[in-house]
Amino acid sequence: MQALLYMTPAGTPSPKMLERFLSHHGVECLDVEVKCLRTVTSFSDSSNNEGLITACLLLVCQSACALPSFALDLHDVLAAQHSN
Amino acid sequence: MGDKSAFDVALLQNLQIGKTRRKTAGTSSVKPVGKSAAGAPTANRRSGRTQTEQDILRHVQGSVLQKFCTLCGCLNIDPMRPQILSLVVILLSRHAQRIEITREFLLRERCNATLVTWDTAEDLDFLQQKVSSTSDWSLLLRYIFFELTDAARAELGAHPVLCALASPRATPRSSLRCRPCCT
Repeated sequence: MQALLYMTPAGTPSPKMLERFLSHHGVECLDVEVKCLRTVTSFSDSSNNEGLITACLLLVCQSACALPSFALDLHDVLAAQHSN
Repeated sequence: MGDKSAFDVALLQNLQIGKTRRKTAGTSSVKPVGKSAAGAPTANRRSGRTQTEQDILRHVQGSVLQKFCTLCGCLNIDPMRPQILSLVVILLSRHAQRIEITREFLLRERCNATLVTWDTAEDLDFLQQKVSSTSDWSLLLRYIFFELTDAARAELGAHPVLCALASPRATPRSSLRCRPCCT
């Protein structure tokens, strides 16, 4: 699910984002660039149904939550902005 | 001619002296550090480096979150509201129907109070100027985790889109190694 979110943002290369996702989760493999590229290509080829993708993205985003540290870090940033 | 060659030699000597001076100065300035570093425990140097790395990471993190706040400001949404991260992910997604998906998401989440500036939201190029790089997104997406009921887990687990992504056709799972458990 998180991999799907990593591949979602516009203007970012999906294979590179998938690589970042794997790296973040401590997954190591040989030729990771090639494998991520193949995975994204295969995924794009197999999922042409926009309606299904939309439904899936909605479900995934509804289940997604931000870590408590997100609010804390944002609070710090906003406080620093206000103090400046 | 003789004067000129004498001048050149003098210039060359000056340059050599300059080089030597620079080198000497560099060496002398490094030496005390080396001496003190040799005396200091290695752990101190490591912790210093780690501290610097942490400072850099914190700075980058702050910068990305600042961009996120600016983006939220442009969209007239409060960055502190729950589900805003998901909302931003949908709004800046590569899907053609991203505006419709966002509206549906807000309806499902009952976020009627969230008044998105839709004119701005429709301008994807403008939004991408705020947050677009791989590292920015990577940092933001790291904050996301999933809270799933058993039913939702089953539904998502059987979803054809996720099954297609998890298909081992392209990347065999056996070729993936997890750092903590594998050597």
